Amino acid sequence: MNPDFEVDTVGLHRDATAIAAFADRVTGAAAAAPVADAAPRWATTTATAFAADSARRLVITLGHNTAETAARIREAAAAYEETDTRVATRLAR
Amino acid sequence: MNAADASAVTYARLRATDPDRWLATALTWRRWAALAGALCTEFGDLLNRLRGSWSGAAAEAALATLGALRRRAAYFRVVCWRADQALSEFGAALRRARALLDRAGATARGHGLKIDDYGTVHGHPGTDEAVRAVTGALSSALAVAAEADRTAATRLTALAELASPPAPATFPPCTAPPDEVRRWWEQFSPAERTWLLVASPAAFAGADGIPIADRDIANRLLLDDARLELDRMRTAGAGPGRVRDLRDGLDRLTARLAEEGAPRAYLIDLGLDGEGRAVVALGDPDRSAHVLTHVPGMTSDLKSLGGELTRAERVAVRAGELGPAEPASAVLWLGYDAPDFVHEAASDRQARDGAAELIRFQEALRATHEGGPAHQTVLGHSYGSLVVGEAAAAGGLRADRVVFVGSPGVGVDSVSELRFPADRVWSTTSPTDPIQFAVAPRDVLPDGRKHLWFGRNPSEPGFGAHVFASQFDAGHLGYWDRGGPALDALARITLGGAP
Repeated sequence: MNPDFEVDTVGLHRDATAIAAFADRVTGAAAAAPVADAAPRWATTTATAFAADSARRLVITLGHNTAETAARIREAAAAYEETDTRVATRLAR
Repeated sequence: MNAADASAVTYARLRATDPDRWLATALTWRRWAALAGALCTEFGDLLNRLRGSWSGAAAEAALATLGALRRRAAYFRVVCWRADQALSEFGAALRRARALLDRAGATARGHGLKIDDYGTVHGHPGTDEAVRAVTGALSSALAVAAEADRTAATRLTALAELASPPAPATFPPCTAPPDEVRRWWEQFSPAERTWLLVASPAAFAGADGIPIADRDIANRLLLDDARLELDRMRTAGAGPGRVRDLRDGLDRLTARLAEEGAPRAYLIDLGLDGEGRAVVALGDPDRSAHVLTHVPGMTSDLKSLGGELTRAERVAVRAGELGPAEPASAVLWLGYDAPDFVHEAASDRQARDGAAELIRFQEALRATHEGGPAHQTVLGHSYGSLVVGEAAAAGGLRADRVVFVGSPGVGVDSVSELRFPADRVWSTTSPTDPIQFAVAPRDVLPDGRKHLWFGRNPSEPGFGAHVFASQFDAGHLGYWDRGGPALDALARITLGGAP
């Protein structure tokens, strides 16, 4: 017996949906990446574009990873429900 | 590209550059950091929500994964601030370079000289000296711009490094001197330092010896916690007036930290004890040739920080106007518990306590400065001058100059009693400043003059400081009024010159 284990699968589905929506917002934050004036071109201009590109990729990866986590939580909720249904069916025989 | 060609290119770039556009780009990064902060908060809310519907081993694994993602969001936030810092300093340097360029242009026009599109000065017979002066000013402008470009590009390029979090480190003891803390910090790469700040901002926010730009990031990361702490204080029954004042002060400080333009504000320390304290720099002192530390007086607290910050900022801005060749920064140092009431201000206890902290802070500024040491000036206003006087009398105050403004006495009756070079002590008191009438009832000096509350008025000749003029109508707070002689004098002293 694991007294610490508890799950509200309906709540978990909602959480997964909220996390997935949040992941979209994280990915969307990449659109706010700063853009420096292209001219006149200082070394800083290139470095700023480089830093912005790197940060943008960081955010996009973060969004994707968050979306993957949301999907796994949704899968877990579905698996819990499926297991519950399967075991209930088995015990009802 | 040879040196002449490089100068010509830099000259053309500088002429075509609007520094404010770079400051606007810095602001965009700061706003991106704010967006990242909102995402970090949302991450926290989602974690709490998940805890409500799921527990057990799988839930812990999911929470750990989301927690790691949240730390990566915080890492992204810090990257944004680092870019903001680099670009803010770049924009500020370009402003100074443009000021030097404009100055050279005005001098050239005044002498009938021509500066061509390559930055070469053309004179005519009898103008050799003027040509040399204009060429010197142009060279200075180009050197400022080129150095700023190199520095900013290096800082920004380093942001692309994405290291893994370093192994948990053992922090230096809190009694470690600032230079030891600095050496410890330097063992980590920039990306590793970012991870350390993300993981343990509270460990670095107030740590003397951690570079100012990094302390700024640590303190900004803790601002949300400060708000939560105020909520806890209110719930725990702290005086509602005190909590409201602290919240007002925190809101104003936060607004200043987000503000557009130069000089950029760096949050070096923040505390909610008492009426609140904060240390804020305008411009990065670690990268400035001249650093003024402004120590405010009685009733200074978090709520009133804005007025003191404006005073410090005016000196920094004026110093930049008078000496654009080198960067100047001003630090508002409210790192001590300033007296709130007259009966508290009648005692030197809080000044003595503050002096020890001030000495350590000045030592920290020396330890974290890039390259050679900056020219450091410590200014005390009103009761703050007693704090500075106590620090100078204690010995070991790492400063090149001290300045007393509107002083009620500095704890000694003569510069000779300070353990600080007498020829580096300056003082001013406006004829209309009522502080000079705060006399002690007990003592009369050998020359018949009365003691002020904490000793001889340092603006009297008998004290032995360099006394400089301030406007007649300054009262106790008008020393920093724009266009007045006192502000120019403070800026010139900060730059290492004479008032």
